[in-house]
Amino acid sequence: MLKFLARLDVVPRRTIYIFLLIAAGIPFLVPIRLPMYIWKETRSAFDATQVVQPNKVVAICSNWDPGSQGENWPQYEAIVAQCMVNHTPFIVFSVDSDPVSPQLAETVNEREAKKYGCVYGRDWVNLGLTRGAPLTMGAIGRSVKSVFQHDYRQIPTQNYEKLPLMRRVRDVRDFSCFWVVQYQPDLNWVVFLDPNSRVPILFACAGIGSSGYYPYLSSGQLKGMVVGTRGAAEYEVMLRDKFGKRFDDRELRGQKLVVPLAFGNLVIIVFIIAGNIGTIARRRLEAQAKVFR
Amino acid sequence: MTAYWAANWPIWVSAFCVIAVYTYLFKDNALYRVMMQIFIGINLGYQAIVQWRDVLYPQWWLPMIDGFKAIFGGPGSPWGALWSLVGVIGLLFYLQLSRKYAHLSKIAIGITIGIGAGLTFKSQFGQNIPQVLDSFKPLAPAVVRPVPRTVAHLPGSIYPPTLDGSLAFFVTRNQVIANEVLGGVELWRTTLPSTSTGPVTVKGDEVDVPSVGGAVQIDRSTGRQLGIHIANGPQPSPLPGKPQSAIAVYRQPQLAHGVELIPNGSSVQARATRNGVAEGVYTGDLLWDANYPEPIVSVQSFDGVALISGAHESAIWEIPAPQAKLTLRDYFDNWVSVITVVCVMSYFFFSFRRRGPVVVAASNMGRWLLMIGFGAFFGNTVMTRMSFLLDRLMFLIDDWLRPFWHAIFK
Repeated sequence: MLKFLARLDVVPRRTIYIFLLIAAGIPFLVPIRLPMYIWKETRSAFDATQVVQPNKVVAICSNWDPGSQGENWPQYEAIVAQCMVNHTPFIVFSVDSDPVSPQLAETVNEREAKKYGCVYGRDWVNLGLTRGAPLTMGAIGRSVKSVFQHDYRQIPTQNYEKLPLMRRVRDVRDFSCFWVVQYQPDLNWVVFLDPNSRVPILFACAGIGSSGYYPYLSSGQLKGMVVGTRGAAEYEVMLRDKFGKRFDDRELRGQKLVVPLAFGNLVIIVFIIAGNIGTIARRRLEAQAKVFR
Repeated sequence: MTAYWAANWPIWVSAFCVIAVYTYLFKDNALYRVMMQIFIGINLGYQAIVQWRDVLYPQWWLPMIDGFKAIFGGPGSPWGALWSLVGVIGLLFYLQLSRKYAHLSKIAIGITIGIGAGLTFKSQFGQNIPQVLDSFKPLAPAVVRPVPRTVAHLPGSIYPPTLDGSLAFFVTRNQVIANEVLGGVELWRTTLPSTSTGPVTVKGDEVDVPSVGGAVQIDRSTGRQLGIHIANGPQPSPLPGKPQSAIAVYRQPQLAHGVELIPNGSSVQARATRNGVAEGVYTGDLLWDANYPEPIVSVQSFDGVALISGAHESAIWEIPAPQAKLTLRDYFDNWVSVITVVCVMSYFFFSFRRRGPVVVAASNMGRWLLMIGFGAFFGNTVMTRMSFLLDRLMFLIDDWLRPFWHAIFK
């Protein structure tokens, strides 16, 4: 028995990959639903986006790219869906990100807009990419249009006939909340965007760096946070609870991915436990061997 | 099937690239390395174009060219030509490649480091000072509630003061007083020809005060009396009855319409008007109450403060944000947090030799707490990596295999 357990200490990595692929692949083929627990930071973020004052817009810094789309795509989709189902206007831009970030964001915006009848220029504007953080962060807070003189489609931001939404977007005071969707959002936003700290800053980040942001939630520097795919799935659940059938969750990824994620994590946990048992068993075998020698 | 291939060949290319990259899991191979190089090449090429199109061209090139055009008689400001200096400084970086002129590149490097250091200094203060403050957590329920702080004393008013921009107009029995509301500076004071009968009305540059002899018209900026409007003037109104409550206007948008200020004789109560304005606070909960030295005539709120008016004196109160009502679990969390801070700090404190059972135990505990923290980091790392794998798996199953399956067997 001990010999068998000791073999668990050296499970080949390819075996783990195969188990992982099978466990994570099954939920894609057989639909499975798991109950969701909504975390406090996700609810705070949802509520902050829901409270929109008249004539204000939601601002989103969409800095995700193909490298982080596994976690940031479902988050961004959920945030955009909330804005669109609410008919809350929003602006999107990217700062110091991968050049494809505005393109990825626009793909999601256009797909969701078809579901909710939203129109570019009136309900949302994609301002494209800029560089130079953290100085640019402060500049965006002072004057959005001075940083983004034209949008992602090369329409001047002063052209109010094509972009009527930009008429009411001047500076940070016109933001009802500010989202940063990124693998690891830059904490400089907290310092530089709004020196008066009036605008709630919300992060949608990958799980890997989320532990580092919790102290900022506790201190109130961040008002909410969506962590990884799990956070996106929670957000979708809240959207469904709030808007019922008005919320169209077809094609959204959060809840689709969270079940395979749970299965995959389970496999990892099982192998961690098995590996530890294997190590203990191997040591015991070695100890026994010494005694018999 | 031809239609399928026409529409889906990019998906096949993507699927091939994904699988080629994942072959690394089996072992390092040439296909994986080719894919990696292709990806880096495409990314760099794309970056160069976007950098020029979205950043350098609109934000540097166009203003500079417009500046030069203005110098030679074109429209616009000639100052834009100064952007050329930015280009020159940027080019200095490339002098690193020359042995003779490499020292000039230090100018550009110095400027960059200087800006970076300044920004980092500001950034570290802005990020960490609130963290230090937050590390002082309540470990037991507070004995006293938060109270509003008086930031300015203003004149009394027998009618609710009228707010107009940064000014407030107070009415006594026979005087009208204009005050700068947040600073408390008195701008002018005008004596009325007869007893006032109601609050001030502002009409553009003119201030109207109803009085027994008619509506007195006063210049808003100087306080000079302009005249009395007698005919069909407003009827004398009785003294105001019970003052109305006011919704507290906070600077934080998430508190909008969340707190009501209710005057009651010579005190003000703040009650929540909706659930969740602070953690554990529900509609109708008393957030704080404060006494005022005389019966309150009116309560008004704007921009994070409340204007409390009495017949003899008014005051500007800075209204405290609603405090969370902590539960036993919250206090437990706070204890854990404070103990963790102290223990981990003792672990990292190297200025003296750790002696004594308390210090050694705290230090050891700090090491364990750090390990638990790193464990949480590791768990999140696994979750993120798994999400990235699942994203590609979803692509392969939903976008590549499933449509192909349907195309073959439909």
